[in-house]
Amino acid sequence: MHTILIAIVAIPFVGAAAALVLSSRWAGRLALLVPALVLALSVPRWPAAAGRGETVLVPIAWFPSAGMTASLRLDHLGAFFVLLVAGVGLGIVQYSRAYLGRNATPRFWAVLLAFMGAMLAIVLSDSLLLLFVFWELTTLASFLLIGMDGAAPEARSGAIRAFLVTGAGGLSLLAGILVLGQIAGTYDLSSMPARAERIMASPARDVALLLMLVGAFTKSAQFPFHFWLPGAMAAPAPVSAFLHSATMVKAGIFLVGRLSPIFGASPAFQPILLTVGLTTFLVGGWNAVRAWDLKKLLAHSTVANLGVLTALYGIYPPADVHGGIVRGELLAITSHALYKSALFLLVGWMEKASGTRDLSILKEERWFRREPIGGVLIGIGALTMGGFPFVLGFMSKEVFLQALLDARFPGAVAAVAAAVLGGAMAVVYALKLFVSTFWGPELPPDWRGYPRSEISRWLLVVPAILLLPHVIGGIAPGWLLGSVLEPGTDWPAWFAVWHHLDRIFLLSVSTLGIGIAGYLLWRRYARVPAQAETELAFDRLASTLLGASSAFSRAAQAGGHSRYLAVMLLFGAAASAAALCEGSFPRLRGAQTSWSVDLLAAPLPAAIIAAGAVLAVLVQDRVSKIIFMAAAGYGLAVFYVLFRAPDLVLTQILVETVSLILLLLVFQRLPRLGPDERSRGRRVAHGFFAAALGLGMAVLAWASGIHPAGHPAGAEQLALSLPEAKGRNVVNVILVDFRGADTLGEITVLAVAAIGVVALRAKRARARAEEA
Amino acid sequence: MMAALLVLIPVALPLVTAALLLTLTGRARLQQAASLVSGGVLLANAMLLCARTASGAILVLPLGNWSPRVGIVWVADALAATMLFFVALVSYTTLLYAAGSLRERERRYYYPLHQFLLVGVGGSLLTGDLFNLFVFFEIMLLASFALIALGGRARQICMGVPYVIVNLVGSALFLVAVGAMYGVAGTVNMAELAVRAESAGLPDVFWGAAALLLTVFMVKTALFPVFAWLPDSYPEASVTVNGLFAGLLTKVGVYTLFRTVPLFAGAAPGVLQPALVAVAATTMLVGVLGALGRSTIRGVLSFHIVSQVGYMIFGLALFTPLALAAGLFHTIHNMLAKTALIFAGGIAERIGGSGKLYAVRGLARTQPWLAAGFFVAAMSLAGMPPLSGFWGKWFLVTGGLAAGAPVATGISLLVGLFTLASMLKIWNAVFWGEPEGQRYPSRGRYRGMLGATLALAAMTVATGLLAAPIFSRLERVATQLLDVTPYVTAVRAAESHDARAEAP
Repeated sequence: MHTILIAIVAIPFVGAAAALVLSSRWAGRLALLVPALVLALSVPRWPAAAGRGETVLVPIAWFPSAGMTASLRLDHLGAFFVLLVAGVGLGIVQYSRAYLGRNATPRFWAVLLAFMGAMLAIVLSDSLLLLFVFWELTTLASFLLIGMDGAAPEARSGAIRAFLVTGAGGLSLLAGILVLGQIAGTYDLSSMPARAERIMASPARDVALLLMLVGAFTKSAQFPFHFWLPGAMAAPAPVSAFLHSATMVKAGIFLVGRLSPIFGASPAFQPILLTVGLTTFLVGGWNAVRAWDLKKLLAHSTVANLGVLTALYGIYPPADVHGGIVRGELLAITSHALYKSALFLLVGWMEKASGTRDLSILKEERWFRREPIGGVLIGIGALTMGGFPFVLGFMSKEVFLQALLDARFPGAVAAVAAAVLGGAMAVVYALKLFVSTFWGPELPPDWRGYPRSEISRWLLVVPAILLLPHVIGGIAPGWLLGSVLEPGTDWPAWFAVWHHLDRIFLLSVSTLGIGIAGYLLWRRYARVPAQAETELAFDRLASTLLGASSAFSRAAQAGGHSRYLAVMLLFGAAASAAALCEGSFPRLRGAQTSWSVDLLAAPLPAAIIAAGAVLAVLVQDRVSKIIFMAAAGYGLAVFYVLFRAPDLVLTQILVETVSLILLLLVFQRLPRLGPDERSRGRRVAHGFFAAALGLGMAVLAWASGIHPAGHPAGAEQLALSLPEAKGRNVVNVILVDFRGADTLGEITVLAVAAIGVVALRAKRARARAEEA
Repeated sequence: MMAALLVLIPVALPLVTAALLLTLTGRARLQQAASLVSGGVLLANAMLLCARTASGAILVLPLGNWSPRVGIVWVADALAATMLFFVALVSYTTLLYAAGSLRERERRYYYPLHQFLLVGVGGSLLTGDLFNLFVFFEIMLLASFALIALGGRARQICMGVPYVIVNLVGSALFLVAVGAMYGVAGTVNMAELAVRAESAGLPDVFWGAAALLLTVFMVKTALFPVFAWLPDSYPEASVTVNGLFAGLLTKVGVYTLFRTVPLFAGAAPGVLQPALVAVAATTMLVGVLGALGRSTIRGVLSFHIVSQVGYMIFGLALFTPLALAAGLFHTIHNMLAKTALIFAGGIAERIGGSGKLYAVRGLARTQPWLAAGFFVAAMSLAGMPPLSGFWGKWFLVTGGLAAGAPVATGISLLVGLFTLASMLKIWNAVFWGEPEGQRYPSRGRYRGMLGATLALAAMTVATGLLAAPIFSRLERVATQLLDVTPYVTAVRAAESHDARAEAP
């Protein structure tokens, strides 16, 4: 059992890796094998998971110190999704082989299979970490598949928008998972319901819930994040059918199902789901009614349907949710996944056959005459989408209405009204899709689209197979539900194709009536808008952000090194002051105020230094500045004399002399300094800044001087110099022995500097030679 | 003896190699081959060090066999060994990349300077002595400036100037701070300083100097508000140098902070932690906004370094083993992914003859391998699983929430989204679209360049897939780092091996 679960997850990824090294043709065949294998492994598990409600847990250790695992589990909900993903996936692969032809590269197959694996892993994850990893992988795969043809601008912007929106949702989900995990003390879903009390008691509970729901809503294109889904329609038809209607967008619904046993008791849970779901239902429906592109119409209707699926979780009280499944959910998901993916595939076929998917063109043409089979198939799909009787969509709608009528919550009447309105809009766009596409006044022209002989028959066979359960379910719904989807659950008596006159039936009929009236109104008054797409608020936000960041980017770099220096020095001073002020600066406890040497003569060198520094600032030409700075340096040497440090005196004099000569030589070749162009205020500010900084350094030096250390290294070095290092001059011993590595390093610095100079000089010389 | 050798080699070998390479000036192929041999030894040495320190052992090399109170010690613990390994790895791939990428005039002195840079980096990672660190910083600084200016173009020298000036003044501050610290504490040995800071109740001026030192390290790391030199200078350097810097230089700054801050955190003023968290969060945000606003490939990528450094320091600032390990993971991830990105961007630049976004387009179609390498590294940087960047992000957020820093954690997530956006900006501009502007397509097929890029991209995948064992090692590193005692004890025990040092 354990190996089977792992195999189900692993097979698609192995397939994806293998596809990369195969030819397109063989990669396509392999892609067919993968879902078939998954089905073969998972179908035998269905009776146990669905009928007997068995749950299989596979604990897998991962990051034990953080309390995170990679555990898998198979239960009713998970097994249902496995079958859905693999089943629809099988059809999609076969359709893709026929539809994409040479465009189905090994890369395409690899990404598609990886997506399939990620989707299977999501629904089999018990660990939230694992779930999240694969959640993000589906986002990535979706991006690659939408943007597959990076040449089309529409595909690019659609892919990026989808990535950013679902990516943002992913980050929200990540935060939510981690908050939840820290409240619960576990990241395993199966351990959470037992800790529901602990979770409910935490104040961060609703934060976790909201963050996770935002993740679910972005993935499932719920309002207000729904706008990315229509943009994703730039992907080829089978990708739209698979990712953006049948499977990936349902991951959010799946997650809500997984969360319902954990958060069901939260008072926020149901109202959020119901409100967001119904709003999405209406917004998606209205957009679908207005759409002129058949694929966009389907995308908006997918949004609407996802709204229904979300709302279902908002209706039933937590006690009625078993294993994360609410009544009618599996039916609704099955129904939608099958008919919607079939319709996407059929629109893909239609686009090939008719050369367009623009309803404003198609509505003038009588395509049913030429393509009766396709017409019938789209008709079945459209009828079930609109909730007409004798197909599965009808049942699904009835379950939804029944649930709303049975529920007891404030605003139930408004919810029912929204459901009726949304249902009516579904009727409108279903009729648009079927009637307007196929029953126009004129015969279609011959010059558009491919001839029938060039279109593979699979483009109709695959959708026909996907629609088959709809017809079966429409005729024998009790069997499909009671024996296949949710065996063991007793469905109420009203659940049949035809039942007595009751409230639900009346609502159903009135929905159909309003919808048909709406459709007639649409036919009469709808006009193709002049501008096809309006700019989305999201795109405006994105371009504002880009503009702001490029302004920021320029501002951050303005001012050059003098500003960078000022920032650095000010920050250093502030940090230093902050650290000092933490104590009670200046703390003089234990301070030493007498010096070991006679400082009577100190004012003399001090005066030299000060005079040198001040004059160096005041004079205007470079040479004088250098000379005055050297004077200050020689003043320092006098200090070393006072401290009886002859080595330092010699070194200081040497350094000052050499640098004086070098600087004079260099600066002679430079142009004279121009007049100071800084404003007076600026000069004063700079002066103040420099003085304050100098003073700060002085304070630091003084303060460290009055707190001599207890056991300085110097004392020990002095003691060890002669007996251990056999050297009388401790400075030399420090340089070449105690701290010889420093000296080696400094020599290296000089060497590197020399190489740098040589490198630059050599280039200059060569450049000059080339010019000559 | 063996242990001493292992600690010595990361500094001594590049130094010797550099000297050798200087005798081979003008024979670039030979120089590259010699560098690769030396780099291989360095890599093997780092692996051995990693193995030796895995169990928590700390190798201490007292130079000249002097006690740490008198002389200089080099210390290799698990942290230093891990960093050395990834430094050696990035350095090696850079050497592979260099041969195809360097222009004729850059080639002459590149290889010795590369080795000198490694001397500085290796020494900075190993030294247990603040003044010795200063010396190695100087080596790094000089070598890196020479490398930036290597192309000899006026713009390179011009944009390199802020880099040098800021870092030189930083060095001066470093010196002042170390001087003041020695004045009040009587030592520049880090472990010894930590002990004295903890026990003796040092005067406040010690902390004033320490804050100054922290500022210098922040400059090296390019943290807010002292980051501006980096996005100026890095994109101007040649691609190879840019990649090398992205992989090594700022990460040395990060390492120095990881090395020193926990040593003193226990005794430091309480303002340290909130200040670090604030600095980290601001750095993340500022870096990503700056990156998003750039209009050249390497401009975006280089500004991103700033943002990523913020993540690493965020992990440090939380002072928990989990967060610290996450910060280290992020550091490692970034060394690989960022270098890969810059290398890939560099190839695109060569193909198009310009680094401007939209100057060259459609590379995904014409250069699928290059595109794959870039995409993997970009998604890693954006934190997509199962790549290495994801784990850094995941555990940083875990650590951030557990440590009670929800605001900074939230910022880090927002920054993740912006990072994704900026990567998509490059992807959209350069890799998608109809192929155009690909003036020198043959340049994209140089094996060394593409191979180095793909190798780094593969490493970010491998790091992501092997996250569990790597992370558990880093957690041990982090625990050792936070528990200062093992480091301090090991360093101070170094003198007991040496009978001579027992003299008073």
